[in-house]
Amino acid sequence: MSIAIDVENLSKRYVISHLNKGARSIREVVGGYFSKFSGTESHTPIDDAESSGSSTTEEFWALRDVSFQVAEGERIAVIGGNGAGKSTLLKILSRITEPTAGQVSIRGKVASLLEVGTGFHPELSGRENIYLNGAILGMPRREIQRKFDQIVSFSGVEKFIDTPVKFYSSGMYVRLAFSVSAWLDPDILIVDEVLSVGDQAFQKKCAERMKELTGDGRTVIFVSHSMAAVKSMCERALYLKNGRVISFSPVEAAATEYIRTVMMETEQRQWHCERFEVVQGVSEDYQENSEYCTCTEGWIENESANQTSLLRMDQNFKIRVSYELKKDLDMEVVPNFHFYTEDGARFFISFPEHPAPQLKGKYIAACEVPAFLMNVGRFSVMPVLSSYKLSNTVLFAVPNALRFEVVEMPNSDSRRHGWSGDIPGLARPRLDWAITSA
Amino acid sequence: MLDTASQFLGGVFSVAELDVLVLTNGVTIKNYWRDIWRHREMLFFLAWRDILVRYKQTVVGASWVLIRPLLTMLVFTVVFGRIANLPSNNMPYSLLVFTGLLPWGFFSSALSDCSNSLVSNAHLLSKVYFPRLIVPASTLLVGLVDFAISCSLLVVLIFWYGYFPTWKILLFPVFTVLTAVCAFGLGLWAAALTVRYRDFRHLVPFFLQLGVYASPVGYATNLIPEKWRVIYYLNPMVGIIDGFRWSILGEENIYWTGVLFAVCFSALVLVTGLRFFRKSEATFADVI
Repeated sequence: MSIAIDVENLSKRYVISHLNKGARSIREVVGGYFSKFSGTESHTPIDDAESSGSSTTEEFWALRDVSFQVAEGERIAVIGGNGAGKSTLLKILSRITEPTAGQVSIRGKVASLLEVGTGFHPELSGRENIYLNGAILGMPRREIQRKFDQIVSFSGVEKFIDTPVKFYSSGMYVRLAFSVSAWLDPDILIVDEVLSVGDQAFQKKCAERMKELTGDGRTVIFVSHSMAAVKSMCERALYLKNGRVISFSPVEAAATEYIRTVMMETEQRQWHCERFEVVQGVSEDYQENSEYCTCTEGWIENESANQTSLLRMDQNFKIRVSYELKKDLDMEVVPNFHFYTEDGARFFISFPEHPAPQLKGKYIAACEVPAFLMNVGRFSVMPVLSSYKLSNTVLFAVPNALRFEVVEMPNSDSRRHGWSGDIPGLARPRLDWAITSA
Repeated sequence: MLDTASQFLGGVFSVAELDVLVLTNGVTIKNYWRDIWRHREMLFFLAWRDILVRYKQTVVGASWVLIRPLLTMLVFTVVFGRIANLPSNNMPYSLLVFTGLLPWGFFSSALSDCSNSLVSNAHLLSKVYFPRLIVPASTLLVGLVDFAISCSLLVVLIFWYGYFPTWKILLFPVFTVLTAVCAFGLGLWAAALTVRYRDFRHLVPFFLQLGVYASPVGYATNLIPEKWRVIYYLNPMVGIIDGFRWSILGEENIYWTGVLFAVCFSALVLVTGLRFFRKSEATFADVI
């Protein structure tokens, strides 16, 4: 398969002026030179800003050494948070701006939709705007004429096609605007989140049309914050962060990684937590029956007895929780650990074979999790001490106490047999197999 | 391998029927003019939009194209011809004024529209690719349309006063092109500079305002004393308006050196303007 887009070490630098965002005026420029040559400092705010910092401008790399290749007919997504460089990348690919370094080779006719209705003029009628917008998007007039009826019927504004669009409702406006773009016919289509327009029914229509458009061998670059849209439309995803490529992988993996990072960044506390200590009155959500017992601390330990929250899938690890019984109890106490998945669903609960000691004293409950039980992913643990004789069975419970991540080292799973992609699922147990000739 | 080859060829070349486009810093695309040719429809659509939109929601509509120069002609005729009583070289003063107003109106509207064109189409520049030259060029087209309409008024006036044109009228299109070249060249400079320095939004109208009086719009050129002539003709519009009067009214005396200067000046601004525009167009989207 041939390469449609080849991006090599692409970088884009913006110079931010701290004096005046964007537009400059001559007075500033001339004034700047003047004070440099004369060496005298006047006391305008401009000069004060200049003297406090060594320079008045700051460099900002919107993209840094970005390299990737898109094969012909491949559909890729570009994902990443705000300021990750997605828009800059699209702007360079669609030739709106020039790269600072590196180069892009594009094979085929490109159409980019960075916005719907670019160039729409409110005073012009729907009909006139279709022609204008089409011309701006690079559609020859004959092609527009040929597709005109399809465009109009797709938009559903037939009745108002000769009314100036300033009288349109915003829904109608957007529908018409999208419809023009929906009939473009390029080799390479660059789309920036324009799908989320109109009402539900129209959105569905758009999604279908996009699928149609993105089918038949067209190369597509699609930017979106919606992981669902990305997953349904693209095969691979380029994950950008701060202008750099974090990964370029199958869309499933990239989307998960992205969501994880976003969650990590938005959540105040980090996911990883290999150790907890209960501080009375401070630890949130902590429950205990303080008449009988109290939980003190807990941690995760890997095979080499190091406390860590990053665990290898091919190694065992232990969860240890220390607690204190405040007096001798005349009932069975059972420690049990609840394992949750990243999104808070309970994965399983583990119980010991025998109940714990009932005498007053300090204990450590340890539970060993075997290798290849948990699949790659993030999990959390809630340690609980229960007594099933009491009406409230909980002696203590520490919700979300430990949070860890299981990772797979390369070549650590002998059962991959050469498959290098994702193996989804919560568990990856090594079950007994037998394949015999029947 | 593919990339070095394409770099060597400097831009677009063909592999298996598809063009390969290489985007790097500072490489201006070799097929710039072909690219513009491909976008010619957009050029016409932009001009068509501007013409269509301009007189929407006005009562008299497109008649403004005629009303404006007519009223200006009346005012100038009264002020310069009647009140100041300036010489008219034995011709109706209103005709003298109109033959000056015609090129001046074209020049000033083309120049001011041109210089504002990029900024007022900023949303296009930051969202779609097209050769940026299309935008100022489309305003020139709009100016030409207005000019053509004003010309019909000129025809009426000429016959009204019984001034039948001589063979000199054949050079009328040449002077029209000269005006367009001059306005476009200056307009390209102003447009590219306005993107970066918005001061030009104020500077250009100001100069055009002064220009009406510094050019022989409301009076005849021979009003200027001989000793000031060299300086006076440094304004290219002086030579151009002279040329128009010569070609329409068949005037005898014309200072050809002034016309020649206007030709050289216009050619120079066009060439340098195009260069400057192309050099700065890569960064328009970043600074606009």
